[in-house]
Amino acid sequence: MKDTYDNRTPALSPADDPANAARLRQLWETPPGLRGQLATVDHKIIGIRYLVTAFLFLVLGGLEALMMRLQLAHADQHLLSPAQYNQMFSMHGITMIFLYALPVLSGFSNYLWPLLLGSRDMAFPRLNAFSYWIYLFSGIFIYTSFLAGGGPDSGWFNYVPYTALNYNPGQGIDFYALGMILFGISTTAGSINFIVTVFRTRAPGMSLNRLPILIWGTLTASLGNLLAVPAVSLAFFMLWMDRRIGTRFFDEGGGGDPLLWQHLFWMFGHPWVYAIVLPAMGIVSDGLPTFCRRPLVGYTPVALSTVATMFIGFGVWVHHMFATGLPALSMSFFSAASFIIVIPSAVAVFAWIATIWLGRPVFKVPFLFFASFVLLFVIGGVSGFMTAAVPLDWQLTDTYFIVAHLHYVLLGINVFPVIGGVYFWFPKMTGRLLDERLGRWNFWTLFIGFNLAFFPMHISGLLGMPRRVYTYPAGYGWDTLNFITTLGAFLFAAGVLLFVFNVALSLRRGEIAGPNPWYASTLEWAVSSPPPPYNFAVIPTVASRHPLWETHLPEEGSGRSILDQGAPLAEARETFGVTALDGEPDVILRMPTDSWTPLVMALLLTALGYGALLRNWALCGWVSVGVVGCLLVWLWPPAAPAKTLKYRTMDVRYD
Amino acid sequence: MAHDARKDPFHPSPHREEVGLTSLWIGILGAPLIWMALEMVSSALTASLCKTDTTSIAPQHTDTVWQYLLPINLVAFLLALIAAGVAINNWRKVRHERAGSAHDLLEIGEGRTRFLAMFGLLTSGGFLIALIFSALMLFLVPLCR
Repeated sequence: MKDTYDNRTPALSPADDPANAARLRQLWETPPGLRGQLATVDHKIIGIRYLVTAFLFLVLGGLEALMMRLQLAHADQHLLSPAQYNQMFSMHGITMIFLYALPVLSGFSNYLWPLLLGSRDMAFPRLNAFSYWIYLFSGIFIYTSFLAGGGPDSGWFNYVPYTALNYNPGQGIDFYALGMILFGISTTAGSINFIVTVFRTRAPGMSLNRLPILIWGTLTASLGNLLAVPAVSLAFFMLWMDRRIGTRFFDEGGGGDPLLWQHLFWMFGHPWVYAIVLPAMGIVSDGLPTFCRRPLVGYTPVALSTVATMFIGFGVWVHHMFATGLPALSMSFFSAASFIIVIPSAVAVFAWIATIWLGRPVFKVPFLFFASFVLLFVIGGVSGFMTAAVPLDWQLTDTYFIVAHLHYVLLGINVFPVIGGVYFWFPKMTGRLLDERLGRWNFWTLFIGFNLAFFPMHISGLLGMPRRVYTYPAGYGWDTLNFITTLGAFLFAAGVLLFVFNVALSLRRGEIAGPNPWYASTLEWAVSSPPPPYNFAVIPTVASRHPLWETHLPEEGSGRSILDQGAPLAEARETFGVTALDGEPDVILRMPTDSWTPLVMALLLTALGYGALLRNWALCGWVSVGVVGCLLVWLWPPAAPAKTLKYRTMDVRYD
Repeated sequence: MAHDARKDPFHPSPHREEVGLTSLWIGILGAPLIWMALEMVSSALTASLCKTDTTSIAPQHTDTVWQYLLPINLVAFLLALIAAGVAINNWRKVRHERAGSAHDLLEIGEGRTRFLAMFGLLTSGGFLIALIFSALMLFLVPLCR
């Protein structure tokens, strides 16, 4: 058959062909300057932006936490008024749970996915850029509430009727409600992108059973988010309408039901908890084996447990509502599900322990973070398991025990893997290693600070200290525990500062890393550090789950992966589209170039948010017209769409 | 009869023709979806049937709850059992897709079809146990209190 562009067989070439590299660089590199930066769709730049922005929000949320801890360090303090304290704990929760915890994992996934999958970019690069911009603007949107008279003040869970207009007439709740709708758009767009990317843009040969666990984790989280986020976006929209349009969805007097809020919020909220821990568990599942010098024990059950955790996670939301007066039998179903969910979690824990036990651990800083994560996961998991029992939950609900549990889960299972992940992949992102000695100080400061801050909260809770109180009287036995907690919080903050200092120092003076400083096994370590704009000079062909360890794992896979020869796809911005299950290439995808439309669309939607906030319907109307126009520009068919590919598998050499 | 992997040694899934996708998905998702549906239906039904009196054990309500929930639980268990049967059948067909035992598959995961078939075995087994525990609650928990 004649090779035409519409039905072409890509030529194979060696990976070290300088002409191909130059051509690919020209095609994929983001132009320098502000214009290039604002229009870029490069997943690596977007990934790093996600990471940096999420860390900035972590610092903001941390400062809010420190203010709360100063207030609670001693009994009967009045550094903050009750109203200020309410805003602090609400914004702390919103910031950490929404603006830090998932976006930071999206940062890793955005940066790493195409590299792990052997592809050139995410499936929808412009959607990727849009997802970042709208996330950034949603965070700014919510924080501008402080400039408009006060932030949200009813907790991150935002229960009705506290948030009903007659009890909460300020605009803080409106900022939160509309900001969360914007944030939901970001999460949904990002999730769609991850799902399509994993099923469509992998390296040839990368079948489902060869996916790194990080991919399983983020894929599962994305599927979960797609199902969960609509519930909360809808709930926030209904709440905003109750407050500003006059509907009565949550008003019992008008035929509504305040409990509906709790159902909608926790239908989203509990799967969200898994969405912000499963990719982090994936970081550990992929990072830990590198430092144990052996593959992860039980790859198949760990992959399955990742999916099963999210699945069961959709059936446990009522355990946040055990104190709301539901029938015992109704609660028992959710109680049972909350017990059952321990099983897949335990599978992963035993796999990590066995990997350490059977491996030859190398005690580098990332290993310390990953191994400590296992311990913190167990502590957080066990305290969660306790609250699955309805009678015990009734005793513990709304006490500091729950605060301790959720911090062990959210910090222990998110922050520790994330910082460990930064130590692990920083060399890939920057070409330099983080300082090892500072890293050890960093680890121990964070680990001791964390446990000093949050373990005593279990005891405060068991002694009856309620959460969300701005102060407490002396003499209840809470004073010393709270003082220790405050000391721990400041030590933890010092650890975060040390981390920032290490990053800043190592960016300038860090040891040069080379492509694979840890002798890791996955594809991202096959390219230079930092990777070139096009990721791979030729698209690799994968024959096992550990392409870079195949000489040591001869029993694994089907032949040898081919990294030094393949299709350069250098005629335009292109990558392979593959079949969903087996990773067989069936199409060459034409990828979009840099574009302003994601940024403009995000700005327009944010303006729509402000329009709704001000109830300026004219502004909303004009902005909506702009949104439609922007969509038309975005979706206008490209001159050369995806091309049918005749892929000659047998041309590929297997050693 | 098992397909000979050597016919197509480099493909990640040499036995992909042995088991249809529908069959694989039934094996993987059948029992979990049934469990999830049972949980939703049971909790909604209980809340509805017990609604008139949530403060005391009401025998007439208890009987009604039994009448609905027991057959629903039985049907759910039977359906999950069928899905588990499909999963077992899938596994039998593709267990030899690659060299090595089921233990090797758990460790390494090679052979995409048998990897998914193993997923089906594990989810079916796990969620069948979950369904048994769900049914046990009808005997252990006060129904309308």
